[in-house]
Amino acid sequence: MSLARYVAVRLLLVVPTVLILYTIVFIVMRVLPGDPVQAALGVHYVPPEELEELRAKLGLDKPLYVQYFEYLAGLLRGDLGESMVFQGRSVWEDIKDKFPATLELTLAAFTVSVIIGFVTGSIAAVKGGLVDRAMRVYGIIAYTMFIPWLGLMLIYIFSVELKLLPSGGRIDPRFIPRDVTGLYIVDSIITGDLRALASALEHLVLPALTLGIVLSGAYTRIVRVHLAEALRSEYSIAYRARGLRESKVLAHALRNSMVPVVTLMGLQLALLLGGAVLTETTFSWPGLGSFLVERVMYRDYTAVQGAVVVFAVIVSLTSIIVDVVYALIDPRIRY
Amino acid sequence: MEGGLFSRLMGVVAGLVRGPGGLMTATGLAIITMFALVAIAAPWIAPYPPDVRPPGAGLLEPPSLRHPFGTNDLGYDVFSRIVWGARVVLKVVLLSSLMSMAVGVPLGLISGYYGGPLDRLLSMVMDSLYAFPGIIMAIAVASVLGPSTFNAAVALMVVYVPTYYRMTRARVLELKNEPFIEALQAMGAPGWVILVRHILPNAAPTILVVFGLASADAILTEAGLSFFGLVAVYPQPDWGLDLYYGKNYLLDGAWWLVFFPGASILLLALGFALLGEGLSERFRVRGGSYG
Amino acid sequence: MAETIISVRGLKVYYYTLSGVVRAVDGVDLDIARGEWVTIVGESGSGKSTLALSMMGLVLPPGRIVGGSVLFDGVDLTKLSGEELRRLRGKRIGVIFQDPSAYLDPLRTVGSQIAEAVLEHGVASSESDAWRIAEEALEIVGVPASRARAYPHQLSGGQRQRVAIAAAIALNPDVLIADEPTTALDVVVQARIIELLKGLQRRRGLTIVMVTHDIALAGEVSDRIAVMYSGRVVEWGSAERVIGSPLHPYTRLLIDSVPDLWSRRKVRSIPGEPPDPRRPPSGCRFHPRCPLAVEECRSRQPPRVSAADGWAECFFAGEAGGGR
Repeated sequence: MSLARYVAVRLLLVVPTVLILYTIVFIVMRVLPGDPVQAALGVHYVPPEELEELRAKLGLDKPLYVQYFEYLAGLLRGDLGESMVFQGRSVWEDIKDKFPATLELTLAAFTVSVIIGFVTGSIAAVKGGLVDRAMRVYGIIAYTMFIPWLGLMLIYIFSVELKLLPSGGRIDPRFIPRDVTGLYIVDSIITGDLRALASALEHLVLPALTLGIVLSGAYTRIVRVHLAEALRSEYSIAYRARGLRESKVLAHALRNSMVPVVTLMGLQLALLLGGAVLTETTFSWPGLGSFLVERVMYRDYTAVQGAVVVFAVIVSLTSIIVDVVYALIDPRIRY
Repeated sequence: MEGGLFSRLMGVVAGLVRGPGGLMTATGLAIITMFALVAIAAPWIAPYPPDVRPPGAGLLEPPSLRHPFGTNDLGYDVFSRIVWGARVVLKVVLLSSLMSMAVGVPLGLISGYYGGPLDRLLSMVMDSLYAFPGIIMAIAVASVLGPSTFNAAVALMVVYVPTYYRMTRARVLELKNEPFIEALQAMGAPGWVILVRHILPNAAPTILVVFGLASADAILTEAGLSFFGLVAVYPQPDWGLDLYYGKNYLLDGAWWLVFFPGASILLLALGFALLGEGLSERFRVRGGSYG
Repeated sequence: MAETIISVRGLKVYYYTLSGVVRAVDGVDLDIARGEWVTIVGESGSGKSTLALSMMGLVLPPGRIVGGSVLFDGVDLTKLSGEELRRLRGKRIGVIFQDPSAYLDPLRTVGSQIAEAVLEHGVASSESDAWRIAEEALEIVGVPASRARAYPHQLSGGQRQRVAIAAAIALNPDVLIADEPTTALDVVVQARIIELLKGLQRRRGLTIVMVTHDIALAGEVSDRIAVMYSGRVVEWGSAERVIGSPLHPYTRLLIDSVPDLWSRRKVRSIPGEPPDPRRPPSGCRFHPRCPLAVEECRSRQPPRVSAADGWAECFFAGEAGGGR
């Protein structure tokens, strides 16, 4: 089977996952007790006619199964309805605006986590002994760190005390680069805008480091275990017996320990996106996570539902990338 | 009877603390026990009420002998708030862990043992939910239900049922092929007897490991919910919420409002993670989402 | 006799484990001549693999060479640096192992694994040159050159062992160490691999040091045999003599334990268990299991009794010799 067909099959398999998650979200948002319309309008008295009017406008007066399919049809068209609080604002447009910020943050954090994980894990596997134990402790502590706490501590050190880096935001608003991809780093490089690049980078450092460190714990652990195993393995002994330099033996062992690491990347996706919500809130990073939390506080249920459904789609689609990478690394996997 | 139970419990603990992973298990248990004692004895340990400004206390006082963790913007004693806050987080997490276990373990047992279309459907639902970011699902549920400790526990339950389900089911699938289970089936033992009397006790170590690791994760998710104001309402003492309000004063240099609640979250989560890690080493069980 | 290529003197290799010091090789002397096939025979745990691998300076942790020397072509391997050893390995001494599946990197094509070592030793000038040498090596061992682009999992067990041999001989080494090369293979494939090795020995003048527990196989293929027991070579001599008229009671028991299709002789297994290498018995290490043991065997290390073409470490070697 070709890689293209493999991707196509995986895409088909994503459909049930997205449907299941959509259904769960729908049940949570529309079936659980609570009157979203009343909640959205706050504690003040609102005449019942007005409530009914808003309900009808949002389609909340129809039977549940009709709502279920109408929303699903909207999702396929890229229409997630209208904000309940900010009247006239399309939820889909808002989410589209916020998405690049989240993508930029998660990509950077992912890179940081994998680099830290490989460096610490490799050191532990190669050195062994006390270093190995220290890295093991690092792995557990990094994993149990509460993201806002780590983020705020970094802000305290680097923004408040050392005054080196900004404490929040995504870029100095004066320097926003021309919009090409929506990723400020990429856009500023494409347009050759160095001031924008510098500003975007200095804003990205702390959030990416925060989320990256917390996620790195699991990579440290998995690299540590599997690299140590690979270095002791028979094929590594055979490489050495053929007179290969230790650096090359290490390189091949690293590649072999990539296989479980990619599996972990799949499992970590959820942590990456969940962590992004906390990181964005901590650093006032204007992404999907901040959007979600902000709208939760406004009790803007259509926006919350839209954001959660979009997260579900992102998780499902990204899992395909993981599968493809997996198949590319390991020739034993048949696709 | 009480004494007998207690000494038996101590015997089990002593067995876990020895052998592989024992140091981690012991450290984890010690941390959890410490926080449990703090939560129970909060009225006696906390020097001041958590939501009243003690006489003579200044606003935003840095840590001192009188206020070891400083005071917040309203002059409340941060240490006392941490002590009382331990009650909230432990209550939510233990309640949610027990509820997740009560739902996830039986479903995993039945699903794994009987198989069939129900198993396939449940697996698909649980796998989808498992792959979804827990904190986002918890936010969605908690935001609909409104802020309260019980609602937060329900939100966490939705997140952690899949973890218990998946690990239990996987263990049942392993055990189903064991000769002693096959022998019992051949002798015509009813399914529920095999499940409850023979499979469940053998799956217990796995469930215990999941309890440790999932609870560590649940503490962080709970902290996230409370950070977003979805567990308690200010001025109720609550670690995550205190951290949220404290961050407004960080730029003025009041680090203690953030540091101490966050460090408490880290330490408690670490306690459960070490317990789970130690137990998984002891019983040779591979951990859940942690890899 | 031909020139000596490997000369082992008083070699001691110990493993420092948590449960004690394992004396895997405990005072071994051997001289291996260029172009001959020497087989080290022994039960598992006798130290035979450790001895063979130490002939290329390969000692796996937690093992250490604690005494003696290994002269390879006049150079003491125990005195070489890691880098000097590395340049020797693969180029002048090759090795193949028991389970070819485990000893090949599952993620890389077999050709690239061979070519990489060729490049590493600076024999090939370019990557395509190295690849050509790898393909030639594969052809030599009877694997079509086209299989160079295959991954290990796409080959059969026998083919994998051939690939391992190709990797070991690609640079035309003087010595090939073969650690139980056929144990993991089925009988027919076994015979073909042995035939291949025999051909390499004859045509290329390759010196082969094979390790096996199968004394019948050793008798068929080797020029000389070293019988190992609990870290020591207890008997050494030409294959015909060792099999035909063993001097050491252990060798005789090993031969008697081989099932024989043609004779009706009852197969006897050796009574007792191999000794714990952390606490070898006093005196002659075989005495607890030896039918001939007397008081002296318990207290004193037996002397090396010479025969025409070798020796045995046994008080009775002189008398027992030849008698069956």
